Amino acid sequence: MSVEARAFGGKRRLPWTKGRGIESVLAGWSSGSVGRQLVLDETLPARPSQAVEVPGDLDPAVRGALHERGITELYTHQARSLELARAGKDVVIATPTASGKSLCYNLPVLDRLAREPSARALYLFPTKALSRDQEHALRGFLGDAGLPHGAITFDGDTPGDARRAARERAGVLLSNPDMLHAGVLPHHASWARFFASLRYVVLDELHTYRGVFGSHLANVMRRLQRIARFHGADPQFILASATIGNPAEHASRIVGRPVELVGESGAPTGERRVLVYNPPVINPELGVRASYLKSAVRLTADLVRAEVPTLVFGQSRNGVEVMLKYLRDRLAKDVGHDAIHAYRGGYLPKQRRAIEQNLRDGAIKCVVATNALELGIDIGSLDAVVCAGYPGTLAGTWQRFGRAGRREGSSLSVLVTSSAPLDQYVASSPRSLMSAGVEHARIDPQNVEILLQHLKCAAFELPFEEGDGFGDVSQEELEDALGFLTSHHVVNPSPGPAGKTVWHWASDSYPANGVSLRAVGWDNFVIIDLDSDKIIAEMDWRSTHTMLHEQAIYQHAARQYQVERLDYENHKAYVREVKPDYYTTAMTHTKVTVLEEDEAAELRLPGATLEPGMGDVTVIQRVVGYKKIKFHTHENSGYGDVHLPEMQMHTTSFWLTFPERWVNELMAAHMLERADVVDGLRGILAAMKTVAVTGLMVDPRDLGSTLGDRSGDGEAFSPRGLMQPPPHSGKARDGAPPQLRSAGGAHRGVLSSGGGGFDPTLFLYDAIPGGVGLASRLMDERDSLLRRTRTLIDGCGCTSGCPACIGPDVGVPTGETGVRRHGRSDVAKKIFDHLGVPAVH
Amino acid sequence: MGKLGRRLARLGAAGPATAEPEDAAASERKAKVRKLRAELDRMVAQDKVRMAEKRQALRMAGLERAASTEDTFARLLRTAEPAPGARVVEDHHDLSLPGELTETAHGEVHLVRHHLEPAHCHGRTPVLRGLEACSKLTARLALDPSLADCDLSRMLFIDTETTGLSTAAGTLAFLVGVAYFEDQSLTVEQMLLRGHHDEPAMLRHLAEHLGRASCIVSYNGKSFDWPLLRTRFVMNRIPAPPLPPHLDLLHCARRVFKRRLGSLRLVQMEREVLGFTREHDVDGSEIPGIYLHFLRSGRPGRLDGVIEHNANDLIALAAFLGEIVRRFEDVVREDDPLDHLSYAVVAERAKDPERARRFALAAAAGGGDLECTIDALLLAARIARRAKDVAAEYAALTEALSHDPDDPRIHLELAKHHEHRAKDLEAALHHAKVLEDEHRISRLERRLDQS
Repeated sequence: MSVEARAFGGKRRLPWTKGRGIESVLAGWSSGSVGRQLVLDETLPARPSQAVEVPGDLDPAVRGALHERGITELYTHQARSLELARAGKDVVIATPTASGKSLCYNLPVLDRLAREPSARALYLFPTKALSRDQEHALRGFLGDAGLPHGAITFDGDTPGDARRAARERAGVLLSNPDMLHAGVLPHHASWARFFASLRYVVLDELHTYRGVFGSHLANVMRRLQRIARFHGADPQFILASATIGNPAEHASRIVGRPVELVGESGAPTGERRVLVYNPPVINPELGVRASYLKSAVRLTADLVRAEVPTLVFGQSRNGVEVMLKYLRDRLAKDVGHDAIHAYRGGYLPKQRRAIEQNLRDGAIKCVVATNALELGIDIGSLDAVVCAGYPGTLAGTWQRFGRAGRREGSSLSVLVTSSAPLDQYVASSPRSLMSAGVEHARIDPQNVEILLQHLKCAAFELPFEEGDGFGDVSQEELEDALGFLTSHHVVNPSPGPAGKTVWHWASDSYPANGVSLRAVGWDNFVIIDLDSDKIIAEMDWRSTHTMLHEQAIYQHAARQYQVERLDYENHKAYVREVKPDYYTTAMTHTKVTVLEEDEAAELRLPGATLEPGMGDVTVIQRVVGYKKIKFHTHENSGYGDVHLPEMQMHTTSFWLTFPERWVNELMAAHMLERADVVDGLRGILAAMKTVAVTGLMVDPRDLGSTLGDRSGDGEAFSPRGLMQPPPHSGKARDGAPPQLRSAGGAHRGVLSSGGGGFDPTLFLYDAIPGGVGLASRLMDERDSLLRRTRTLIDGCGCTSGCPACIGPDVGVPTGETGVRRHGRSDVAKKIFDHLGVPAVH
Repeated sequence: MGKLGRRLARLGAAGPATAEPEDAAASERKAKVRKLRAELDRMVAQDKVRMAEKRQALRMAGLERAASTEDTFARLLRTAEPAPGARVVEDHHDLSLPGELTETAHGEVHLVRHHLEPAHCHGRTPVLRGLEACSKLTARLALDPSLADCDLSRMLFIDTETTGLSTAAGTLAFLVGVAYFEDQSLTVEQMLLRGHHDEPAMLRHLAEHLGRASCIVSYNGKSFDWPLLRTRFVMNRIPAPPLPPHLDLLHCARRVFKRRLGSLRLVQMEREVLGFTREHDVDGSEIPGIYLHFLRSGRPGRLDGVIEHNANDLIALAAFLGEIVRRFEDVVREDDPLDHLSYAVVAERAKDPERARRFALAAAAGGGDLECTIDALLLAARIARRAKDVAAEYAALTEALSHDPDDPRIHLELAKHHEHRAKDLEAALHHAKVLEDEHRISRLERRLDQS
């Protein structure tokens, strides 16, 4: 062959063949308009496999099962956790998603079952779906190992006769913390044989047990250990967590004793490209950016066309359904309708199973999901993840990103930022995504109210005897607590054997029923299609208000249904399929009203006397109406009223009131408008919440915050605060994509023109019905709270506000003149200076 | 309120109870009197054989006793509600509770015991009838063959009073009542916990009773009393004794009386079936509170009412067993046709077709409502078909049709009868046409063409 012929040996680009694979998509993006909007383009290098031989002393039956599955060696973290577990240690495995964590606990458990056939193990998962999934996998594994033990799920859906089988025959019992708490521990006498032989307790998805939920769980674990001891067992714990900042510490607090960490993954990962795409500004005057949903759809479509199996995460159910519809429309010519599927919590278990199966088979090329997949349901290997909107935390983002990526070859993770302040903050400093440490999981098992609730449950399950402890609650503390319960006629002391006092349960109630581990109820609404008379989905109570009000367009699997009737009492929504050119999004409204002041004080500062207080409040959240949003153009094409009962929550709140006179002084001294002050206070509130959450060791979702007025007329001057996501922001965001929530709607002006007196008040309340004592801790710590807030703001390295301090500065023009003159950060600092709050260092 | 012994003496004898209004001012004085009476009454209810002597002895010792009881009571009155965290009075066996602290092989147990006279009636039903129940028939009624060979003279009636409705670990069975026949007399023995510390001895004592029994008889005991007691054994680390065959009369009552009475509460059975109406009965929902008050304060309050309630339940169980089995022996004309129908269904399920046939026919002829009559005749027809009695089946079906010419169930049965048994295809076709059963019509027409 001649030299000339070899000169251009590269691949010829043929206009009639389309590109395939990630590389071709990336090439297309970098040469086109997409490239200009990429604010981050990083490559994480591949990591080779670190594996060791399967230990020779592993039980032959289990070895056989591994062999059957083609596993000839173990990754180092799997081998290490097996070794530690067999040495009798409690272990927490914290390695990335899809690194083979379940083998880390399955191996020691199966090895034990093989050696000690009467042994039992308890697996706890945060959701029912996860335990069903694991049950299936585990049965296969047990079968391959020739072990006769059953793996049986025991939860609220388990029928009566299967419950008996679970009690008597399950080698591995799979359940959830709620069921253990209310359905197993109080009935432990019927589970005597199970508890007596309990050798391992496995807690998967440990990172989900944080804040108040985690504090409850830690107490359930104390009860579990107590019951196991009664029946003569002391089970070991094996815990598995996605990436969090403090896995060993968190695990130890949950279990109440030191836990060994296995944190280095030996699983290989391919190269991962991480992109952040910030949609272009389309209206420079108003600073409006292109829809992040549509941007995400466009990027996803490029990937699916190039035959890259892709997973898309939306922030809300509505967002998922809108993207699903757009993707199917856009890709109608390229792939079949069924190749793109939605996956979310509202789907019935059977539908979800079918989707998972089709993904494995390759019949489905693209899945659009809410965070349901974050919880480790195995859907096989995908090459790309597109995240529409920032999930709110770094850990959450990496959990989603971790869903893509094969062990070999490269994968792609794209974050498409929305116009929400937090997202824009990420877009402006995208490097934090790569370098900042992930969030810590915090719990406080000693929270007095939570502890008391579980002490009641524990006393019901087994009497307390003088000298007993409860987890790391000391004997003295416990006796004091029991004295308190005695005075409330809940337990009764009596002389026991050997002269010791024994406290017995002495009430006719069943205390576990009164204690819910989660703030959000489980009782779902069912959605019934009037044409087929069939149940098509279920929805949790809270989302019902925003998604299933009458006239709402309910979207399900890219079909639109209109809600014709909502039977609120019977938890049923009747829908009929329609073909509208719009979807609906609800407008909600949150207000805190003080019912009763339990404690009031004065907080004397050099520049002012503030009025902190705490007491009972109602947090009222109401759906006031809905908007019709046109598909594709996202125009607002109409409004409607909604008449639904308010979602009312009685809880306790801490508040801090700034007297009006002082506000006026401040405004005069610094030439500020009220709007500036309100914005500055909002910034202080954000920082104060961060300080409070850290100090209380709770999850941000457990603490609500609102800027209102002490007189209770909150809405008069802070409508933006009212329109912000309510306490359970994750849930509320299901109602409407964030960028739609703030658009249009019931803005009543940042300051109502009448402008009568107002005493701006910062509210920080327990976002758990009934409260769990967070507010009273804040009241006790009010000095420190205020000073630490100042320290946080002063010490933050950011220039004008970031999520870590006063929240991102939105840069939206405020005030009557519509001209923005003062940055939020400036105002916040001025407020502190004027108050004379010293910082602590 | 009157005391247990007196009430027991009144059991079976209908009549108004003496109303005793609670007057706060006079309550102390009255209470003293009640105390004395209670003591007397308790003795009255004791061993029947020694009753006369006892009465004599009491009359003589009356004054001394009154003095000591008065002291006890005065002391009690001074004891206010315990302060928060206070320890409970350890020892209240000598309070105004019926019964007495008894030294058993396993320690002290507070026992309340009575022996009923052989002629004792609960309402209009003799309690002794329970002893007359035939085990074979009982087994059929209970649909439980394991009862067929039970020596029912050694059965143990059992009923518990508890601090809650769940069978979970924190519920206490503070009063366990058992009853058994001894010779011709029913003995009621109730074990009362003065506090949690009495529980191990009580459970061991109960285990002995269970060990002697040939079977246990309860009302809802399969899903409540026994699971709860088993939990108590586990909680006290005492091996639960193996349970003998268990006859849960709630299940029998459901089979027999659900159709007619709807509600199946034991007091409902008592009133409707045994002719006994309780007076001043303690409401079940109040029982946990009464006991927990006693536990905390050491004051019995209305605990005597709870003990009486439990004794009544046990006596009712014995009488009810006798009555529900007696009515199954043979058709009692006066009984409601709905009950006859129910018995017929049970007999059929128990593979006793002859009895089922008798009860079904009695139900059909009993003048009950249309639904009852038709159901009874359809059942009679089904029994006849199984017995291959073609004529009887036909008779039952035609009679049913005469009551309701439009009931499709009857036409269907007649269609099948004529096609498969009487081999009268024309007649079968007639009924199939009434039913508009296209499949059946075409098949019958085809067969008619062929023949």
